[in-house]
Amino acid sequence: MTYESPVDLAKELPVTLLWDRILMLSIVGVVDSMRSQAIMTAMLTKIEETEARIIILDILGVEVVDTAVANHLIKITQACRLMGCTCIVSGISPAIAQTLVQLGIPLSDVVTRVTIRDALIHAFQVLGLEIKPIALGAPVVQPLRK
Amino acid sequence: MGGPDFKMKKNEHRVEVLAEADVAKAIYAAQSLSQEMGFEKTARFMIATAVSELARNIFVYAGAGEVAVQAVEVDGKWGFEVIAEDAGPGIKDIALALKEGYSTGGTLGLGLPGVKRLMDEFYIDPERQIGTMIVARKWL
Repeated sequence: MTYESPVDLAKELPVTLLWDRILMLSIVGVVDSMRSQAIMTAMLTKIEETEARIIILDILGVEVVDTAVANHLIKITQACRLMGCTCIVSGISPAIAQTLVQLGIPLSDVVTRVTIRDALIHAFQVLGLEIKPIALGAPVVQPLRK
Repeated sequence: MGGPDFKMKKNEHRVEVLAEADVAKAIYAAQSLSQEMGFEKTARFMIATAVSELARNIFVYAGAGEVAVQAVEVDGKWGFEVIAEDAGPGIKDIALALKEGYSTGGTLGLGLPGVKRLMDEFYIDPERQIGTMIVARKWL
């Protein structure tokens, strides 16, 4: 499928409302300059629409994180911050973490987590929310086995 | 050029880099070769990232060029080799280009030093009159 512009491509990106004020977007494949522009546009548009305070950007499925992709990630998180929204980058696999360290990318200002689950827990903490079992009886859904 | 003399080269795959979309082709070529050679996941990711960096440099700085990936063997030891070649403006000061934070393209300036760290061997042909030729290898 080919797209005319980043704006068209942005409309196709499924930025999902996970919870009140918490958004999420998973990206897979190769991130080029047009896609990264589309990702930023889609994220910022949805932040404006939903007044989200947290957006989780999952990068587990990206093929490479070279300096250009890392640069895009930094810009995306900065733009989110300008809109009062914290971007948590999740999906930092051991391979991605080691590659970023070798490249020497200054990602210390970016909030990162291993899994979407970790990122969501962080989001709940920031928003002052907690998840607890229903007081009476057994949990309706069995907790995740780790 | 530095580096050992190779007894054997195989599975060469060349990708012409003329547009940004060709960077993805170079990445896929690097991934399939490194997987076939038996590199573990982190090494495969580093190799693909290094190849992406070199291919993207061709597109950004020279406009056109070629990336070749292949398996090379020295004394029974196999390595992944990438050769990135273009006929662009070339690198005026190789030492400066390998310095962290130096960039003529308005970027982070970590690309070439990053590739050097991601791979085991890294050479920029200093003799080359036209364009740039970079060779990088990672051993199994």
